Amino acid sequence: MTGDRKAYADALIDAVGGIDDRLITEAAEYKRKTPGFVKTAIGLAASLLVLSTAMLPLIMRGGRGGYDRLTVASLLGASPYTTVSSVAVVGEPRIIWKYDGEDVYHEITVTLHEAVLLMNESGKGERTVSDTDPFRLWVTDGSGSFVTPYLSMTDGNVGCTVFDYGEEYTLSPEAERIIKAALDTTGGENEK
Amino acid sequence: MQDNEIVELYWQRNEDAVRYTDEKYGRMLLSLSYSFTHSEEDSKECVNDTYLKAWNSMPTDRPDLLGAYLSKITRSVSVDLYRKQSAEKRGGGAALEELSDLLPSDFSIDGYIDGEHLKNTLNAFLFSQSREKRVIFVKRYYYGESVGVIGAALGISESKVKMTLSRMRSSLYETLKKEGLL
Repeated sequence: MTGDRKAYADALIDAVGGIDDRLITEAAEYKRKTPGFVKTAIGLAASLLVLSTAMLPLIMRGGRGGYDRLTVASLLGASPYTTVSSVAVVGEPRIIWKYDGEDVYHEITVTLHEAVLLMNESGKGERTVSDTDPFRLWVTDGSGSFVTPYLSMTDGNVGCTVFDYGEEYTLSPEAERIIKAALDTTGGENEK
Repeated sequence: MQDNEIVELYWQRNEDAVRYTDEKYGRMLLSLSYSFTHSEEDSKECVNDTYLKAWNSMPTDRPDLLGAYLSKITRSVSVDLYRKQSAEKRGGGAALEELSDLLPSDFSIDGYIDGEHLKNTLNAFLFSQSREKRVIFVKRYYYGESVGVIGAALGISESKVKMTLSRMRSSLYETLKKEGLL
């Protein structure tokens, strides 16, 4: 190595040693991606969970028009929803929703695995504007992070509180048809 | 124990500060040092040097990110040791050599190398990269981690890590040229 090259290489190595503390911390704390084989193994489960999440608006809307909202819980295999005036920032992994015009939140507890799957599926669902039953939905893994499943996973969608996200959702006609059929099969007993 | 509590112990000249530092960051620092020294004995010595330097520098320093602060000391001490030993070819430092290799073999430069400008350019370069890319870069050239370890940590293949690093070195070279640093 020439003298100049060595001197510059040393300067460069020292410069790397002096990089911003945030870069150092970020690299140290960076979390592993889910390995490919695990993704494959959980793919079906993820699809089902995404579909279940996508169903929530319709189910809840349906709940007002004929279906019991507890159907949401039974579909996700979780305990019945609870209604709270404010949402705990940390605690159990949960799916949380709120209707516009209500001052309360509804939540169901899910497993950490389910919550993580849902959070990782952010941005993959369809998002459309609804003119009926405005509705908001969040998922948290219980660590303090909340996401809205229909938004892509960016800093704007990952917050430490149930941030105010004002978009509403409806399902595609095909998804609605499928879900209604499913509810007709299993949800009759839940009709009010 | 929280970082600010440990730092407070240093400021109080309480020797428990070193014990808590070792409990919280000892393994990370040892691993970092080992990446450059490839010697357990040398690594332990570098980490002990780190604690001594930290003891002497706090006060007056009051770092917000204690882990990053300590790792900078450990890296510096370890790289210095690597440089001393490189003539004896005792191994280690592969990442450093790889980083040096972004410079052409006939490289020459006129005059003074502005270390501060170099560091600021490097920071700007890294912050302009995607999160994954900059994490790969920092793990490799700051922490000295092997390509295999980085791949496993990020859940990506070794070939992808190598390709990413190669492209980043080329891109960094172009950035340094644009900044008049080459």
